[in-house]
Amino acid sequence: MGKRIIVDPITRIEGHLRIEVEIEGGQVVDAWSSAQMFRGIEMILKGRDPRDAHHFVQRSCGVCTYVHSIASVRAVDDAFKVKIPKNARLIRNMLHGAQYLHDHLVHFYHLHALDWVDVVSALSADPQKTAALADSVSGADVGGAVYFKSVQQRLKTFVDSGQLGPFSNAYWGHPAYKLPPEANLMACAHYIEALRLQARTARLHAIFGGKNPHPQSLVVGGVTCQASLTADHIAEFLYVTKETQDFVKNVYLPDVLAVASFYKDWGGIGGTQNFLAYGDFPRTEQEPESLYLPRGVVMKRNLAGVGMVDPAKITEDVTRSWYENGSPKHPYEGETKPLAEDPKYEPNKGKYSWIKAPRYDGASCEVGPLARVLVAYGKGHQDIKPLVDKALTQLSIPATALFSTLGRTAARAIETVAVGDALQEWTMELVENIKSGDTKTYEPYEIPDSGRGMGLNDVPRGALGHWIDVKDKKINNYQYVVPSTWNLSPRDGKNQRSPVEEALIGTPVADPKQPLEILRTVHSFDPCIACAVHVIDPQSNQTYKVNVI
Amino acid sequence: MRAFDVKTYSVVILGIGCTLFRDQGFGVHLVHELDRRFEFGERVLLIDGGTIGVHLVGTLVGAERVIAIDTVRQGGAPGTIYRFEEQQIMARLNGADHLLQETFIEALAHCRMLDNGPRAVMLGIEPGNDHDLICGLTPALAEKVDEMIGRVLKELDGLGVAYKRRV
Repeated sequence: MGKRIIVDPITRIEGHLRIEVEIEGGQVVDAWSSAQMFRGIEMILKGRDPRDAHHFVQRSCGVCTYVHSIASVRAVDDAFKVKIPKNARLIRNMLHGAQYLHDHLVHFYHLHALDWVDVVSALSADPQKTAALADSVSGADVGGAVYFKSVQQRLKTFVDSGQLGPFSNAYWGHPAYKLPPEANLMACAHYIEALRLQARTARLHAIFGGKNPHPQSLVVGGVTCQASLTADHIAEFLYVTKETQDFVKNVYLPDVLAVASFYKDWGGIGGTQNFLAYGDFPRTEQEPESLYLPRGVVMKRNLAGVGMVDPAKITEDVTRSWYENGSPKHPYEGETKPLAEDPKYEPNKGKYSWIKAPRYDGASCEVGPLARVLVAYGKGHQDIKPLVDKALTQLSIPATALFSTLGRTAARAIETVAVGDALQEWTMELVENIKSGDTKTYEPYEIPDSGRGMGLNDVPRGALGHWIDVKDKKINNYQYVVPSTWNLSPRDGKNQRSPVEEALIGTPVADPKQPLEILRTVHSFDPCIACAVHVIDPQSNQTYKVNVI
Repeated sequence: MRAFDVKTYSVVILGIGCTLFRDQGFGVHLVHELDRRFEFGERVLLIDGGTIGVHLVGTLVGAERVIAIDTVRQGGAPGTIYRFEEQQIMARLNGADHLLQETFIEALAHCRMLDNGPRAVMLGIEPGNDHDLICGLTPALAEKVDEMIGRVLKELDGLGVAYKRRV
């Protein structure tokens, strides 16, 4: 039997996640993903007014702000049979697109990059060579030897003070870091630029949503930001979008590809088999036909046979989760009955997570950027297919390399480029629509006594579904299956692993006490466990604990 | 200077903490009370920074100074007031009293990485109960609101920043 290690808590994610792996011969041979927190929002919603649901569920997470709000209003729009006006559809898409830009930028630079970039190594870089590298790789606004020298100096001050701040508690010097010092310095400089930029990108939500996190202009029937449909607001939205998109195209995507070129072996690590995308960004009232990111399912990596998605085939299994047992249930019949007694962590044969195990047609499916990009690629998407082909050519790797941690990371950058461009088109479409005299943002409706509705969405972290059942005008049942439920669930009743558990198998681990390689793959899923704040015990000063057992 | 740049402030007065956890919301209650009682000029910003966390970077990066108010566990009697200078604040990064304090310090660290960031002072108060899921302060802290307000005003006096009591 191999050596078991637990990585808990996983940092640089949202929420509280524990990953346990078994290592034999320097590789991961088995893995268990455990979410350590339960909040019960689905239970809180019972008996409440369906129109209020989106306020509650949006508080599932402040990092994935907005997405639960849109999923919820879509589900209730569906239950109430409301058709929202064109402006509302456009604004909801624009806010959603803005969320993609912000989320993916922050994820790559501030949550994922340091798995690939060694900050301390950056201190020995030659600023002149770094400038030359940066010029050859990308078109950042700022560069030059003097600039990189000043970044290096700033990093040095941090490191010397012993107060690494955001860079502390990491694995600097780990043998799995492969970038030359100049690439490390370039990436660190861009980390800082991205940090500066994201504070402005976050404001996009405030323009048509009132605030960020948790913009509040969505309602059942449309949006409320009618007073914001002015030239000034739209101009500011476009300005910040363009500024962000410039960085995405000239720095983010090139950086990902530059880093990838040193880690090509990761095109064979961290892959899964099945991919599910609900798709999103409806361009007309017709769904799923008009979705900019298309809906589809790819089974067993078969890109030639992208299947239709039948929502009736979605079930959640609680056999290995801390809920009362029952057969796998579709979300309309879903139940949330947490075990009464304290959960016992029993990964080998028993229950070991608060996450339920969603399955599509009985199979475990990855969701997120890679799923979306693969579905789009398989369908010959006019924007995404060329971006993928160009990346594969630039890196001289085959399409099979997409099914990996590298592929997942590149897909995130690729779809950001596509969505960022489309976002500007949708904004211009809004302008034209308003100019034509249509200023309607809300469709009035009668609340039915009963009804069922679902909202299928593809949000930055992946496929997100909300299901609502209304009786006597109140919420009778509300279930949501979120991207990280799909990606980070435990096993199911048939002992099938979840995507992350499967992806970790075969990961090389050079030093079990510094499981950097495991973090690379776990982070590539962009987990959002969305726990309540205050899980970390303030009395213990440990922000990171690795138990080698 | 680009259009639509973030506005800069001389002083940001910031309350942090989650009001759902009893005394932990003290800083938030404090800034609301300050806002009720006083008017400040254009160069001063009061923020209920409650649970914003690292998003604070966007606002703090343009500020010259920040006065943060929060609960701090130092072992004193509930209601004891402390003052922390910059070094002491940054030293708490890996040993903060609660997650929102940690994310505030992270935000400050990020600001320093970006530009110089604001000079920071933290006024802390020893909590009585910061873990029960109840809104509202314990009596020991409720009766210190006035004194803490006085301490904030004293900081402003030291910076030569004007304020006016509302009628």
